[in-house]
Amino acid sequence: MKIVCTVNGQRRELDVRPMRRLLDVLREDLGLTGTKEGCGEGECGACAVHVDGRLMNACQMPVFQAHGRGIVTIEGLGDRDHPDPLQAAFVETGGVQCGFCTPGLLMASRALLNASPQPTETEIREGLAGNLCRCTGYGRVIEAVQLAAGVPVVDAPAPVDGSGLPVPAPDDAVHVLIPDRLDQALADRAAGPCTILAGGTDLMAAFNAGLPVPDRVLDVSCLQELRGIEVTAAGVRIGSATSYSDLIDSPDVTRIWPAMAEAARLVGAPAVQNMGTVGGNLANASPGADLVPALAALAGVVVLVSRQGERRVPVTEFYRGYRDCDCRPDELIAAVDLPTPAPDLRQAFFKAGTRRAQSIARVNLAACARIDGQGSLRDVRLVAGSVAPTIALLPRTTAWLEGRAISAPNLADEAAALAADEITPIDDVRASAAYRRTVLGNLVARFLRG
Amino acid sequence: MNEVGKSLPKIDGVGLALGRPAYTDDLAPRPALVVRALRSPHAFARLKSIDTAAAEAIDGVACVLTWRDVPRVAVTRAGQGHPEPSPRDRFILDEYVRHVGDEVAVVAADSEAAAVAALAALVVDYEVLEPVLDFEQAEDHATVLHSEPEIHENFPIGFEPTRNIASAYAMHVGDVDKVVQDAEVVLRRTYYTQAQQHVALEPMVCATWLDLHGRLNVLTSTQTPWHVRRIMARALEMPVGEIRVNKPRIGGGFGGKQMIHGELLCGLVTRRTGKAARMVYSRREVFAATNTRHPMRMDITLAADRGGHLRAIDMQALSDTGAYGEHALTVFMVAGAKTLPLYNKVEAVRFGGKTVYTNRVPGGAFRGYGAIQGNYALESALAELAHELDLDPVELRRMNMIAEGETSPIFAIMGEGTEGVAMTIDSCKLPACIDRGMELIGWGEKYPRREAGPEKVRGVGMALAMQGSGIPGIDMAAATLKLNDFGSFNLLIGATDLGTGSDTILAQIAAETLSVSTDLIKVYSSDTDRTPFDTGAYASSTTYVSGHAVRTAAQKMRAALLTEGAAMLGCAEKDAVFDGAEVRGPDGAISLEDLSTRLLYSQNQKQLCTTGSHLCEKSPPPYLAAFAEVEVDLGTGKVDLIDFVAVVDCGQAINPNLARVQVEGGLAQGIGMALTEEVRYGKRGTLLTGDMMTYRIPARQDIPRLTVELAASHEPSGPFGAKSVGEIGIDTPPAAIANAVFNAVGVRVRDLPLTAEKVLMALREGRAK
Repeated sequence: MKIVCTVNGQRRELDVRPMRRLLDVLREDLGLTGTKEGCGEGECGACAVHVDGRLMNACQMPVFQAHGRGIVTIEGLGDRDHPDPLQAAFVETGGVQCGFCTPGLLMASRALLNASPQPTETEIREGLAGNLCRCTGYGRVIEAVQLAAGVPVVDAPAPVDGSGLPVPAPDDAVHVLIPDRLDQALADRAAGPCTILAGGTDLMAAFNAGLPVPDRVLDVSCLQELRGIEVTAAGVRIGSATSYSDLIDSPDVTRIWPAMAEAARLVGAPAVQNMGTVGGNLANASPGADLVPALAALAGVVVLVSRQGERRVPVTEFYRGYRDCDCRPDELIAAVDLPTPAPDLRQAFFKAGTRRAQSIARVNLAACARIDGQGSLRDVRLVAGSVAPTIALLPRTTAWLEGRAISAPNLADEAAALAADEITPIDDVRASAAYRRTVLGNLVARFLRG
Repeated sequence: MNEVGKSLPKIDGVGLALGRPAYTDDLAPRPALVVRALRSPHAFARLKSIDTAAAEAIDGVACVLTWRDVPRVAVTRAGQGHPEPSPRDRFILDEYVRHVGDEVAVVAADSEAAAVAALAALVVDYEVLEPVLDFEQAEDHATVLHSEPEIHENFPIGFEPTRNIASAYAMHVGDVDKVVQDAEVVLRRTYYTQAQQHVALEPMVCATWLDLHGRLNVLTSTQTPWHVRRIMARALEMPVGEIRVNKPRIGGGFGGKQMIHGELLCGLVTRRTGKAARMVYSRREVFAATNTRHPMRMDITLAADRGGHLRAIDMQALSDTGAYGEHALTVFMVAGAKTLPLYNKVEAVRFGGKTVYTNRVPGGAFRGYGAIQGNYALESALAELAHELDLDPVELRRMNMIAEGETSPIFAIMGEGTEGVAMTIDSCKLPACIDRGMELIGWGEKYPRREAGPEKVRGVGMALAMQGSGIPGIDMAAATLKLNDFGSFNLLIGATDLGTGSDTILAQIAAETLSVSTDLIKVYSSDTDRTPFDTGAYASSTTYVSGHAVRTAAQKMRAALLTEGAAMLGCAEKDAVFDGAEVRGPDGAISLEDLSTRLLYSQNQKQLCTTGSHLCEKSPPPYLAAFAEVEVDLGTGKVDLIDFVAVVDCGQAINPNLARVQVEGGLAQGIGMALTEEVRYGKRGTLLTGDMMTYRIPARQDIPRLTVELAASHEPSGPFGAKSVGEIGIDTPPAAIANAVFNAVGVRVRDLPLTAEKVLMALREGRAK
């Protein structure tokens, strides 16, 4: 496939196999060995680069998605005579030790400072949450970012003049379909089995771990119709190709649907949030997905489209079993609709993971309820993740709570016991069934105690 | 001092921050054959047959090697000195595979795709055997892992492979049983530590090629270039002199790259094909097919009087070395040797036990090297004793710990698999470390616990640690200084900078000795052809042992400069002085720039080149006092670290900033071991934690601001007063955090890591009682 992009400001025309990782093309074809591979699954951030100014993991991006975009790698950040202030600061504080994670860390730090020139320590920790370092204990890195904060830099990747779509080559082993209109995408989808690729965060890691790359890949990342957050008085429509970062950055989402914003914030770290999409999270159907319980608790409805038209399925009914969702082979997830909640609806999202960032939940819980004039619980919705093959709705606990006085004695403890009792989780590498039951109960109680 | 004691930036920092090519895979020759291993899906199996025909027929495949194609020479991949204190129980490839991930066969092809296709085309008939998965059942198990006739120990280490015992050890001073019998208070506890993976961000990588002369060149991410060369020569049956090993920058080691990994396979491919080859481990291979920290069970008995004076310590341990015995004995011994001398007031002390084989990823060297296992057990037990006696745990330590001018009989008894070397402690600033640490954490106000909001409780805990500085009588390092025209120097060192900054601090030592600025010292390190010998970067040896060698080379260079300067000035040597800028005599002076240039081009022409080497004669321990504050979530059991304070006595820090970062990085790794990291296996020995999604190293938000201070100290035997600092940081977090969790919520977790699940379930049990 022929693609056009800029790399460190220089126009590059590349003839590449489309599903190769951007990381490999940078290192092997372009000789830009500053970008490192630490894990191959988007966990460590050593391969982080800027794509159109946003931090992304080069191991999770198929190179065809670089078409028409501006890539900046560590080699483009600065040179010996004109280092980026961050590069100088990392050396000065000792933030560079073995140096292997440093390029990715510097790219993440630059993205952070571009977005927030004077970040707080918390913002720095969040901004660099996806970049693992095994040498420093992180203190020197944080100091370095603080030292470089506020020092102005010129960092404007040159615009790309490559327009239109990449040109497939006849000998491409994988047939990558890159429609730029929804009707074309639906025609491609109907034409035969294909794997849908959006942000790539799950799929590219799976391919790297040995999952065979399918013959036909349908890329939906260029479909503008699937992107965006549209807020009306009645609710919000979130396009399926909308990234977690778009959700996090939307003031409306944070204000009106805080449980969803919190769930998005707890997914991965910035590079993954910039790449991963709402539709991808829904379609991947992982029992440990963070966003899905929140969408379900907030009464979300999945909007599916095909050449036959539109179909609407509540998120609570979208999953039929483990990694199995109600999406026909000719359908695409177009969006998810959420109604505007009652102004007094209490919403919360809790995640019990192994560590604070980039962790898959051992248990998560999205919870909503309001308290009416009599002090009774109304519109209770509890949706748990990681405790069943798919999201768990806790109908018995919900029914028991509905209409009950919030001040009732032992309410939280009894609800906790009920919730723990109505799930049948499994033991796995992350947690035992007994732990999951106990924690889910405790999280329900925590929500009720407010 | 002008150069030593200064926090200079790392000399390679700028290049690394710019992303310049620096690591093995950045520099490996292209084109090169891609070498990939087929890895066992079974924990234990015999390879009945391997059909390679289909794989060999694939376009681009250069060679396929199975156990039938490789020299049958028993080696250890431990990467230790000669002769190794680990059993030689391994072959390049073998008829048996002994853990999931063990090497079945190797392919080399001219592309990644062809190599992957070749792996898929190999047809292997496995005779699946019953594995040994529980290390407490391994001894005399019906399954014997190693029955190969060629395997052997190099000297007595208790090697009994027919009983699944890789090594055994026992020592005692005094009559422990009698003291325990008579003691007012006896505390018996059992603790377990888990397998931990190094997770250096750079995986194992090597590249090999034949040079003009047909010599085998090896570029590899290693901590031990000389051991790699020697072990490769043995395994590949070729003369040591025909191999050159060179280490470029490496992306973290932590002991994981002390062992030999892809070098044997890659080297063999190059020998067979004549072509350059490179082998890059995937992250999954790093987890499945390198090494972990040895898991241990530690049975501790403490005997004391009611006032808290320790009278006896008994530590009996069982260590799991997995499928191969790399570092089996020495890690085991360090669990006692680098913990027990800390409490030298006892009347009797005993240490012993075995290291057994299981069908798991082999154990190996890992920062802390047994000391962290022993430390967790001993420092937890001391906290439990203090609790039973209703004593402040700090006071209990103060009463019993070693002090300057004292010794421990253990130093002479326990060495690197053999006897040790007696020594007196000439520097120990533990009292100051403890006082300052208590102040920094606010021990007075925070001990033992306080509420921190609904469902959250905070507690503080503490632990002490000691380590060593090199292996006495064994570790040897050398350095050469070469004078260049116009007054710069090449410092050629065998020492291996694994990202620690050792190239920088060794340059500082040379500069200080020569009274020149550090930027005049051009460092080139870790190349078996071009630099002098060094045993390698392990056992906390580089600053103390290699530093001495550098200092000696620089002292010789300084003397040579005086001799030559005086000769040029026409004065007696005793009348000349060198101040770093010039040699001055009674009647004139000659600048270093002028002197060095004349020596090469015009007057008394000669190359000034001096070499120093240093054998480690004693191993002065650095000391550390650690204080942790945690917050426990009563609803989830999650332990959040709020604050961690470490005050270290590492002697005179050559570069205080780099020393601090060493400690901070060690703490972070120890915090991971304490809270989240654990290599876990399924029922049939499959690895459940084979990637970074399931094996959790701490991320930025898991590590609070670490407070590390260096105590004022001077070790008389060290170069400019220095001791080691690379390992000690890792030792204390497990015990300090476990003690803090106990103080917070009354839950004592005796098996690492302290997961939210263990804490919550223990809390629930406590409530049920």
